[in-house]
Amino acid sequence: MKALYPLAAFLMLAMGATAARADGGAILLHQDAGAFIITLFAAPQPLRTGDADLSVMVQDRTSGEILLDPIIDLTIAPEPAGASPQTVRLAKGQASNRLLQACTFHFSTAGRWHLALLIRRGNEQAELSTDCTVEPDRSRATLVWFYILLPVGIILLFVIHQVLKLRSEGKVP
Amino acid sequence: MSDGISQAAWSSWSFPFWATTGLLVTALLYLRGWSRIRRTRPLTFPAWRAGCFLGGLFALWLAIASPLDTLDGLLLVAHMTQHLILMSVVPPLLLLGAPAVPLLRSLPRSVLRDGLGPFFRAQSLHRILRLITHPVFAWLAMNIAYIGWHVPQAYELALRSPGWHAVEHGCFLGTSLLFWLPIIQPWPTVSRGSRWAMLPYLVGADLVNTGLAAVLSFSDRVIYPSYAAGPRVFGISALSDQAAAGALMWVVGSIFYLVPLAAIAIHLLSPQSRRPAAGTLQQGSIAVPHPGRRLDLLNLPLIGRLLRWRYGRMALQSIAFAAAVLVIADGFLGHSMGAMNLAGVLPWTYVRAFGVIALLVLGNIFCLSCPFMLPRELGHRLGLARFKWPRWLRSKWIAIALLILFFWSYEAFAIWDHPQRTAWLLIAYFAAAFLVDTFFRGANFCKYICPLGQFNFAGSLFSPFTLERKSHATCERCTTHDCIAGNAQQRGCELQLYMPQKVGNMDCTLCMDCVKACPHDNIGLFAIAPVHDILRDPVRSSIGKFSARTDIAAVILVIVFAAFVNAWWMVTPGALGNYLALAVLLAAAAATLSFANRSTKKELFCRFSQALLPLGLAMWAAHLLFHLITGWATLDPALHQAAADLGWHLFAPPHWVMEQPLLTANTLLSFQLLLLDAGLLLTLYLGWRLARQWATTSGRALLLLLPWATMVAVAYATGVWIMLQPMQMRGVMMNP
Repeated sequence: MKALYPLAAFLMLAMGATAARADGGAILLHQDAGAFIITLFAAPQPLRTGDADLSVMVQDRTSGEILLDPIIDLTIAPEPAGASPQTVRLAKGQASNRLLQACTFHFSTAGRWHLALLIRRGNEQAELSTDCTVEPDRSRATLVWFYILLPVGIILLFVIHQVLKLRSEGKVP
Repeated sequence: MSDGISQAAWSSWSFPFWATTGLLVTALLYLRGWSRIRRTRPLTFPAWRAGCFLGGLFALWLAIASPLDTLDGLLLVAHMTQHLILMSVVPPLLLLGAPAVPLLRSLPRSVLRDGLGPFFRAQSLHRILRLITHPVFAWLAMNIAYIGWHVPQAYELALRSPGWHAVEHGCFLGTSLLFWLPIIQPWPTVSRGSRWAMLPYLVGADLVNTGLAAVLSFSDRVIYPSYAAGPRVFGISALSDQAAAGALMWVVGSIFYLVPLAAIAIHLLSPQSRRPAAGTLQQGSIAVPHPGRRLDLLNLPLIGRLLRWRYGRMALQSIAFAAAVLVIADGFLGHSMGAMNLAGVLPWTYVRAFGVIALLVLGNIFCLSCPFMLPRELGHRLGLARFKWPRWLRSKWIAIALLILFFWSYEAFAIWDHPQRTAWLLIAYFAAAFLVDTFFRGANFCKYICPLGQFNFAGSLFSPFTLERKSHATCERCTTHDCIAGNAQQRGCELQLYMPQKVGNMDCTLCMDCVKACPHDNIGLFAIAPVHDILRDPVRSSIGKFSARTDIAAVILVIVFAAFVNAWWMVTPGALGNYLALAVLLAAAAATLSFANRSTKKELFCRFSQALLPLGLAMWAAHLLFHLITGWATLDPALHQAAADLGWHLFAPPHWVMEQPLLTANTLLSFQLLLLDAGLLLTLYLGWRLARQWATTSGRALLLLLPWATMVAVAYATGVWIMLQPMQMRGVMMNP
């Protein structure tokens, strides 16, 4: 019995450990533009319909120093152009990494999307753009299946529990 | 690096909610178990052990919440520091806390014995555990995980995907716990082989670490493409960053292996190298264990004082009464749209949801602060209460009829959307409570008429707290029985619950009259296991046996059935499916009853009905949580609107647009499904335990349970389907 104590303790500790995660996200764009080096990160990867985190790091092109104060506007539109483009201003407080400016954007449909960045700092200004593919969101279906299968797993565990109990009581061969 | 950038970097903390909560819960459980076991083994569990364990948890939190985590996608050296903490700092600290026994001792004895006991006794699990805790397996597991996750493809996968990153961290921490286990040997684990074997064990791990560190340090190309492709920060090139990460692994990583290696070697070579056995450590130190103390809410500083205070209940009732008056006034004079009127918002969005949440986490708080009882006090003082409630009306059947009428009229007349109807309903409630309790002695309205009360009584069968006597002997010696008879200063229980025979929460309004009346201070509000009340069937004061009370079973069935009908109506008003669900319920009941003989049919029906309660409550909670979360910001503009409508120009015009939802759609759905899962499992568990009480064999118990389990599964599936439908949202509009 004592030999099983570490297993039980390990399972309890795992509660905290498995939740350990990082920011994730992938680089969608990394490019020099005007006086800046601009990196656009996107999460989740691949992008799916629904909410996505878009964050931008701006660096000085000559020194490589991170710039914290540029004004960054991100204009996003589906391709081919049909719906009107939406422009959002990125904010520092949106990202847990304070070296980035970020926003949450809702991709309403799957397909190609066009992203255009406008960065301004003092007299300096830079514009650049990129395209990305947004895939259909399967997170809701995954989530529903997970929560439906969760009780099934627990019931199976309970069945094993009962069989072990009966066996230890000598009621099952 | 400028001050602004370093400040920004250092302020890049994240607060992962679930991980932080998990670590806090683990810390609390450990401290609870540690303080318990310390009473009997003070030498094995000195304070430094608790310090180490809490330090380990804190280090784990630092690794996942500090700027190390937010910068790890930009800097390999930050990422390696994070891994080093997870693999070499957290595991030894946690194991030095000897966590196994304290964590287990923190759990209730019944969970240990009945829940975990069969697993602890299972030989197959023993074999698996012996395998994975074997030093050879542990060494291989840690080093394979260490090398495997540093292969570029695997590392890149973890960088791209938060899910795989979590798996990577889990692998590192899990295998490192196994790796450090034979080195630390936390009590009560036993040594598996010679202690000398730990020397090559640590040297071997250090060699692997050195090899990997050397590859990173001396490579002339960037091994992980993400760092080459990404922005370079703090003026460090990707190659320099990689070399720094390698050096860190080499130097600091090696120290973590070499220090314990030296300590073990010195210990083995010293004259007093024999470790005293665990038993000998305790000689002369075994203290008498203290009896387990139960959590008594009435002993807590703030809440206990409020509940014991003579005017405590009245204070809560007065607040609720003022809110009810405001709701009635706004209902008649305010905005005609329910979502913009206090009468549409306060009772139906907030009070219902908080009432159900309170039932599940605390107790019958609604009845404790019930505003309808305040005018009743006035009626009592008129001295007209001369009549006894007729004996033939002393059951729940009137309340059941009113409960059905309420649920039907709520949907049929869309009361939630018509403020005036809500106002009339409240007035009718006040009038009925006043009339009944003015002319009849006792709390007959609460016990036999109030539909809300019946909902709360039934729901409180799953509340985690109950009023109970502290000492059996004190009650035995008591001759005055003030808890029920009252005294000159304080009346006793008006619901006729005699404390020595009171079991569970049925019919208890938590009014605290018994607590205040007891001259021996022998009543507490104790924590209990929520399902415990359903599994036993003693004779209860003023109630009798549950198995003989078809009216109580009917109350529960109405509540369970209404949970699904009410939610179904919100997605497809007037659907015939409700009647199909009722047919399934009746078929299941009939099938189960067919197993019973004539004398046990009633008993079976009454007890099994109670087992359905968790699923019903879960459905209510999931449904009402939806309205609360989607309309969480409605109260503020509704108050502004009400003030303006009532002619009090105190506030700015209401702002009806909500900037962002409290929870995302998927998070809200997760909560709802989790509630339904919990309800389903608890219902099935109760059903199984009840079936085992009747059936002589497991097979027969399964047959008995099967029809109910089928019906429960159908109800659960219906609940999940309802949660996936677009439900009517009340309250403010979302900002597009």
